[in-house]
Amino acid sequence: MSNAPEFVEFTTTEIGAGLRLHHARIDRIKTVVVKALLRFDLAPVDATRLALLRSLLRHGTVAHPSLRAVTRHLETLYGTSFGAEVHKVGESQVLGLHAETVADRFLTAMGGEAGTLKSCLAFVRDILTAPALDDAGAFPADRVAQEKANLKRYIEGLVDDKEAYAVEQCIRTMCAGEPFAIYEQGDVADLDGLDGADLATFLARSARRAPIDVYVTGHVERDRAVELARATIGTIPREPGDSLRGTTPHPPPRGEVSRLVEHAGIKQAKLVLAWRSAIRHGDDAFYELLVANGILGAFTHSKLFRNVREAENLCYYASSHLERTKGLLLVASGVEPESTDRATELILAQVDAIVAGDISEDELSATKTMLTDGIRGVQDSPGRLAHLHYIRSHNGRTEGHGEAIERIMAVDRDGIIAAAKGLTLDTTFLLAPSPPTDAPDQQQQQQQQQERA
Amino acid sequence: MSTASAPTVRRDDRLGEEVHQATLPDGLPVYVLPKPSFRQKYAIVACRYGSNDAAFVPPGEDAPWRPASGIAHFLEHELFEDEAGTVFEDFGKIGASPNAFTASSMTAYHFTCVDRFPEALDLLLGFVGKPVFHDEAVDRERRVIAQEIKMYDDSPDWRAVTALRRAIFHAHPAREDIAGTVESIADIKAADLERCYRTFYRPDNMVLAVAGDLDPAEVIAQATAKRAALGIEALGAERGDGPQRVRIEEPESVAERSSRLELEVSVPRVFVGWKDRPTLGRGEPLLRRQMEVGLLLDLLFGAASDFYERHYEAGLIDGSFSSSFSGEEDHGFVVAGGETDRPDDLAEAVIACVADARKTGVSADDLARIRNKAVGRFVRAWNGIAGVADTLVATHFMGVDLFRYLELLETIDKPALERRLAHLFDDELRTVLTVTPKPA
Repeated sequence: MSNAPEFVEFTTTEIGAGLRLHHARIDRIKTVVVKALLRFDLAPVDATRLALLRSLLRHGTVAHPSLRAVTRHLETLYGTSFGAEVHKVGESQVLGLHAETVADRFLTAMGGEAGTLKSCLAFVRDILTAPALDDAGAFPADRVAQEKANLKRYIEGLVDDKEAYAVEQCIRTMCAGEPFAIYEQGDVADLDGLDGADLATFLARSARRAPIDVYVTGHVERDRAVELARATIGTIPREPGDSLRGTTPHPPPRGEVSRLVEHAGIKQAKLVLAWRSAIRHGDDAFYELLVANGILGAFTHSKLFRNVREAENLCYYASSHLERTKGLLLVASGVEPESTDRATELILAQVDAIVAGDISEDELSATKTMLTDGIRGVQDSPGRLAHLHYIRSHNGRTEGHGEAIERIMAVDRDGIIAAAKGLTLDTTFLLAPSPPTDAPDQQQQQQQQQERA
Repeated sequence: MSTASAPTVRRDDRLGEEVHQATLPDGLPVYVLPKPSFRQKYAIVACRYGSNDAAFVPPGEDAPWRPASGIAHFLEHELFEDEAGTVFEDFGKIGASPNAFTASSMTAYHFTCVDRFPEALDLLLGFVGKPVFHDEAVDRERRVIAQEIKMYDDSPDWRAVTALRRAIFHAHPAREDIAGTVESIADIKAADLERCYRTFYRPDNMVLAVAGDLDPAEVIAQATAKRAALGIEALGAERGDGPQRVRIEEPESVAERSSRLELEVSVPRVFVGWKDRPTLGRGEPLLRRQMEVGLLLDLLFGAASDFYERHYEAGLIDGSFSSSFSGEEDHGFVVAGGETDRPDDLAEAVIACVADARKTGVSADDLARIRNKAVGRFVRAWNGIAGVADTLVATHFMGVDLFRYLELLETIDKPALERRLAHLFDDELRTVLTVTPKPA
């Protein structure tokens, strides 16, 4: 029924030094998604600097010099959305600016005005090169103070989201001493050392030197996308950048598992188990690891869901997740407090089962179907397509969607067993309800005890 | 086998979208949104039965029945427990991802897939249309649901919303958590679930919506055949009457003018709520009400408002500040609030903002801008097949035509918003909830 190509692939054009434009046309989409992704090494202080900068950038440009002016400008552009965020890709820190605007064709059909994509791209450029600064060329001190307070509250508020907190705390402990331990929103202790002048200098330098990947995806032809991007973001003056460290290798194995327990005033225990994987995204055997993770816990037909949640009804959720760039596999679960030992045992048994080759034909084929249909399904989503392309290119993978699907289909049982054998359990983390004791120190929210197995 | 009614087609050329609608021989309404060249396909079957349908007269009985709170949600879980207990696996085998949700006024089951849509649709219609109820399976599921309830109990934001609803409503079921409590679900039996199912899961109280690169006639024919094969009987003379709901009397006032809650949080929060006066009846008046309040909240509290700029810069609010409206035919409420170091000051500021707006009215320029934004949002929403199908379900239950949205938007003018402003934010119908960190 359709004649659109089966897969959406990006074409890349260098529009400046270290400044790449990736375009893909998707006519079935009514919008155009714009992303500008600036890459940095994940490092202390810089992580905090970027997280703070992310908030300050939302306060606008010389032309629209406040949060309110920005919002009004975007509302006028038919509700063009704009956001800034920071996230980790392995041990890189990415500052992302995201916008989405309705394609001209639909605006004119509605009796509206065309040209929002150009305005949108120009706005993204201005955010990077013409932010709203004070007379001394710094981010205004009161604004910086305000965003510092917000960021502090945000970082300290992580503990209020128990599931996310448990995962973060597990990673922090497991990767202590490695860049990956750094929280993507930074560290409260760094805030005092940052000021508006430092941040403005850092932004100006980053706009010139950080690798920038710009994605223009959706209802727009290639020539038009390239022309508009060159006329806007392409005008940013660029210099050769510093070489980046990227993601470091795993440290030598410790030979023991860290087992951590913390208590909090909660009703359901949160259990996180973390493995290091010998295989990472850039490795040949990556697809074997991807399938192994699918069999273990990425889907509702996976072993964790069937054998931990459904068969024994110990928990409401139990699923596994790959940090593919760093090479970590994490299992997160919400468990009845009295059943945490049993849940741990069952989770470990599922990994052992894969190592022992206990993989049914149904598990294998269902997992391959979910993974390959996942890739097919992404073709409808400009944002997710861009994200997938970015992660793949970041890790040096050059295959397109069709080849990725072939590689997944070619994964066999031996490959999955080998990938699972390459997993080393590193850390287990349990956030347990505070014991109903009269010892007041037990009621502390973050009482931590560490045992070695 | 009888056939479905001939589909009617609604088209919008500006959007380049069309929706086909038919009614199956058994009375089930079906919507199909063809999305040529989309890879993903989505189907949702929904029942107009949610946690607010707390009391009703089951078919063939005379007396009203008020089952345990949380039973609609329990039923949702239980439908996945078919004879073999392998619904999730069956979907997984064909690469489809199923899920479900229970809301205050509906329960819905849906899946997303790329290939093998017909098989997945048969699975969906099968487990929703032909359930089995066993006490053993009910006991098993009780443990999973108890864990789900405890997970939500550990979320401070969830706890705060629950407390706010309890401060607003005296008796209305909106007071209760959708999933109930560990205690309320303790005694639910298979027979209770079956009774709820019989009452509400009838074709005229349900709807099927699908979206994707699909042929509407084929989808409608398949659904007709599958439902016939399941032996789902057409409703006879009672078609259209719908289930017999029993309304629970709710006074106009709020239950508490102010309340406090101590939680394990790092930062205090404050929420100001206004109870809406019910405007009984569905259809366009209900959609208008939702649209008008949505626009008003954007004008009053959105990032382009005086309120937001002033108080963000003064550090009284941060990115967690938000406002929302929950409005249905028999009840409704507005909430505005978020995290703050100075909860009392923020509550005062929110109240003052509304009071000022009631005096000075809304600006026509602001309204024009916000309307532009609403147009853009509406166009953008058609990118998401699941989102549009879900909206078709919501508008079906509401009794409105989704394609009327833009026309309705044009009719919402300054006087309409000012009338809404005067009607909704009554000082007497206001409540303030303060959440403070539990002392260590």
